[in-house]
Amino acid sequence: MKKNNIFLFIIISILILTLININVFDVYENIDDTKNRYIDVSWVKKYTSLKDLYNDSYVVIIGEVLSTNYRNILVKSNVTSVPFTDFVIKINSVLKGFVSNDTIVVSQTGGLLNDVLFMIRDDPLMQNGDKVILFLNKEEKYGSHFILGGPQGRFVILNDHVFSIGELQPQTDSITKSLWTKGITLDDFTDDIRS
Amino acid sequence: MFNNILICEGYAISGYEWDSSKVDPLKYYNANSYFLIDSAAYDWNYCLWGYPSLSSVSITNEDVWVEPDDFGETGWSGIFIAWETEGYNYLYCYIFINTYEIMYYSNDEIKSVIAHEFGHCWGLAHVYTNNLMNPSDFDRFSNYVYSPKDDDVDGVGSIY
Repeated sequence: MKKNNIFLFIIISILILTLININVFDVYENIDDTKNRYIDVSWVKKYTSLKDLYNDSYVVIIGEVLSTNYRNILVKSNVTSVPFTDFVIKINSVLKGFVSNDTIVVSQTGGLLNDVLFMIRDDPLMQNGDKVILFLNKEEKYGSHFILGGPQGRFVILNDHVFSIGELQPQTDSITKSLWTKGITLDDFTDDIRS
Repeated sequence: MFNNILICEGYAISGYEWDSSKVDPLKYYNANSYFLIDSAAYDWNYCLWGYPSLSSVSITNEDVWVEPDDFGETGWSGIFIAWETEGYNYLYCYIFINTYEIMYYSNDEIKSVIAHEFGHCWGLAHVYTNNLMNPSDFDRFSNYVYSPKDDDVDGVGSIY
């Protein structure tokens, strides 16, 4: 009887882990590739631990992406614009800092420019409905926050488990490697960043 | 998600490249006559001229727009946008240097950022080794990588 229970437990665990992985890769591979273009950037900061990321953050939140607004910044010479996307995030909890509203605006580089979607290769745009943990800098001149270190400061929650962005792009190596988080529980993650 | 990246030992290829009529020489436009842009281009040209099959390939002016501007605290110091492409061929590219984020960078460090973005112009993708195409400013600066390394030049040599 005891052996049967252990066997059942192993089978159920394998099924759950399989479902989690399927979800992870589905989320970011459903994007229509045909009209996408890529952007490459040189990242200013490199974080090697969650603790460093937490200490450097102005605000850390757990939330859900409610809506998406594209905006473009025309460069000084007017030759083109650089695309950005503003996301309205519904805040579920604040892990660090103070936020006066129940939503916050977060910006990412990349977005829609002349009907073409541009994305940073190692920092795909968030999507409506994404449940995320975001390590944010101070609100800047456009009234929004940027994510610290781009993909390094963004984690996705799937089925109450936390994944780093590097985990969602298995085909490439990633700047998030030293922060790789693969399916740890939300409680463990919050314990880690505060430890 | 995007074009398949070919990763070799010390360099990675984005899969995008210039048509042969454009790359001999590849032209860039220095929007603000910023001397470090010329300096980064010179570093690339110097390396390419020493590479047997690339002796006639260089960056001069006009096909790549390079401009410093203030984009705020975005987390990136340089950005490369391949705006016009035909299939997997570049037609026109932009490089912007974020003056906000490079405010406290030394000239060598700024040159490293510009040279890194020029590397994308050639069709190189990111690597996480001790080379110019490492996307982390921190990694490059702490290893004194301010100009193309042999692996970066080999990467360009494998394309053209």
